[in-house]
Amino acid sequence: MYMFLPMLLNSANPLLNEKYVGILMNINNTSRQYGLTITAEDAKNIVEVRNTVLRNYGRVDLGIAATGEIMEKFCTSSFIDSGNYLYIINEIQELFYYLKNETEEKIPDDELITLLRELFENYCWGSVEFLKGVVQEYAEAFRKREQKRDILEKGDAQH
Amino acid sequence: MINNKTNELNELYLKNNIDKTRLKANQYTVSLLNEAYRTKLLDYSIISRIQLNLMNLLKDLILRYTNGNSTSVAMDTAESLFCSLLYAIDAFALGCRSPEEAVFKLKTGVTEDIYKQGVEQTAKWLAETKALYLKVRKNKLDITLDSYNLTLNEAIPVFLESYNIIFRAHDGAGSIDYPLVFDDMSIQGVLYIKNYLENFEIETDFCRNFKSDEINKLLQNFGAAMKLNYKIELINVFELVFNNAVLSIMAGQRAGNLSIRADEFHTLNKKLSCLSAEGIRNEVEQAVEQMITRFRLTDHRMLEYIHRYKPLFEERLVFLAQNHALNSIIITNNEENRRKSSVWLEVGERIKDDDFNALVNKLTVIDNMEDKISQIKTGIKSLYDFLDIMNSDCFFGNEYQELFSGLEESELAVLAGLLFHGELRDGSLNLKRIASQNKTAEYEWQEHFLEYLKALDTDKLNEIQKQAEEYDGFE
Repeated sequence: MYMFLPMLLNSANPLLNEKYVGILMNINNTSRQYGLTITAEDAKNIVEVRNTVLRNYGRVDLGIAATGEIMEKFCTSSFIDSGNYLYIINEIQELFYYLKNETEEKIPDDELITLLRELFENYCWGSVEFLKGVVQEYAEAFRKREQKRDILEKGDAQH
Repeated sequence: MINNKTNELNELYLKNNIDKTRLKANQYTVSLLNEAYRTKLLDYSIISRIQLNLMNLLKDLILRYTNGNSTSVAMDTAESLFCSLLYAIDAFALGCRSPEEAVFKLKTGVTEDIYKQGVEQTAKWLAETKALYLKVRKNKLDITLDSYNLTLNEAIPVFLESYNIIFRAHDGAGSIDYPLVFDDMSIQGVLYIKNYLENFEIETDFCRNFKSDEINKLLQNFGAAMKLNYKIELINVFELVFNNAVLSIMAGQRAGNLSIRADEFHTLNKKLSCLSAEGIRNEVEQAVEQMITRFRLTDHRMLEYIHRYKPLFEERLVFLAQNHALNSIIITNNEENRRKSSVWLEVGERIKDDDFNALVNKLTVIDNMEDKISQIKTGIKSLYDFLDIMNSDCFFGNEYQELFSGLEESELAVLAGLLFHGELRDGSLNLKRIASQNKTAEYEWQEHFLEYLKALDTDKLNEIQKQAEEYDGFE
């Protein structure tokens, strides 16, 4: 049973995926006021991308709350319209899980999504490509800071 | 409703299809569900429901683990949390009166409640293990065996203190080194430690029939016979004590003795070499019975342990007798032959970390090599501290050669014995040959030591080799 854990956890469990599609569709109630909605096909696509991203990054997420929060926070962006909504949500999902790995869960989900939203909106002017580079730099700086802190803590412990 | 449930449970009992040999103590629930599915006690939809409930529990556990900050974790973290969760479910299922009852409860019970009860059961095991540990520690043997003392004084208390029932219940203690005769490594988590301590207690209780001095002497004799530093070796004391106690009875002594003299060894060797396998087994049987009677051993767990070990001992003895190698199991008292080591490189008490660091700092700034050697010789008493010093970048360039030149032959013999332990043990040590070869070494000091040996003349090399061979296991 352990062996099949990745499959079991992120899985392509059809019932679960259907449930996730329903949850994401409900976000239309909020995003509609910003002129953004997704179809059931779009929602299915977002769930599929999420499952692939999780698999590729070796992560497990037993809910769809993070993706939902990404959609809720990004639908207010002035750089997103109905033409790029789906693309950007999928890209942000990937960046989100990339950062979760790089920061080893040290930053809470909501803070990380807020950070991505801030960078996307106020620093990258809605450019996903630019955002990717910034996120990579952020991850590197974070890692270095953590390493330094570890070394200092170990030094303190030895003293 | 209650009647319906009772009827269903009775039905399960009546079917009685579960093959208990297919159930694993480790991963009990998973093997139980597989077996219940195979025997059609549970169908696919129920198994799926139980799996889904477990996933929901895992979801909650991930949130607890991340303090509610993250709904996702890395796969290995999720796997570890899942194992921890299943450990609690296993604890619950193992507590049921039968596998059938466990299947019934998994089928009809609320998984969350089952998990809670499993966590409670694990906490109970932990409390029992802590109580057992205190008892075992109080009765520990006063012996100079590092793995025995470190396991009991450090590894187990660290495990018990840091054991996490919720997030890492399946974790065992990684630093338990002391080997037991019977150690079920397939068990996980606190149950493994509990089982380990139970067997540790039996082995220790058996050994307590002998004086600590006698056991320590036996260990020294064993170290000398095997040409090894017994203090740092992973030796099982029960095995050593049991073997020599039984063998000494077979050599004609009264039960309760551990030492075997050289003349007794020769008589016993002769006697066993002439006996058939069956004859040897009979001799062992009688000696073991004598020992049990002499010590009035009545505890059924200990008797069971002894009777479980006895056939292993018999088979080994038969094999060694047939191959004329009884000297590897009969440990003779070689006190008369053992010379007392006069070297400063004893395996003595190690100095404190602070003192060690101060010494390293001092050595780094001293230029004169004679002063350095004098500081080392007065500062440390343990061979292991000396090895740490040699690995602490305190010596530069030719200083290693000067350091070795400043050591006595007996001290060089200790280093040679350490470096060529394998050859020394199997009697094939040849320093002259080693010095002529281009051997590679693991540490810098070892490379310099090999260089140093190369430059020595044959007489000196022979003397070091002789002393290394005579050295009695770093007593």
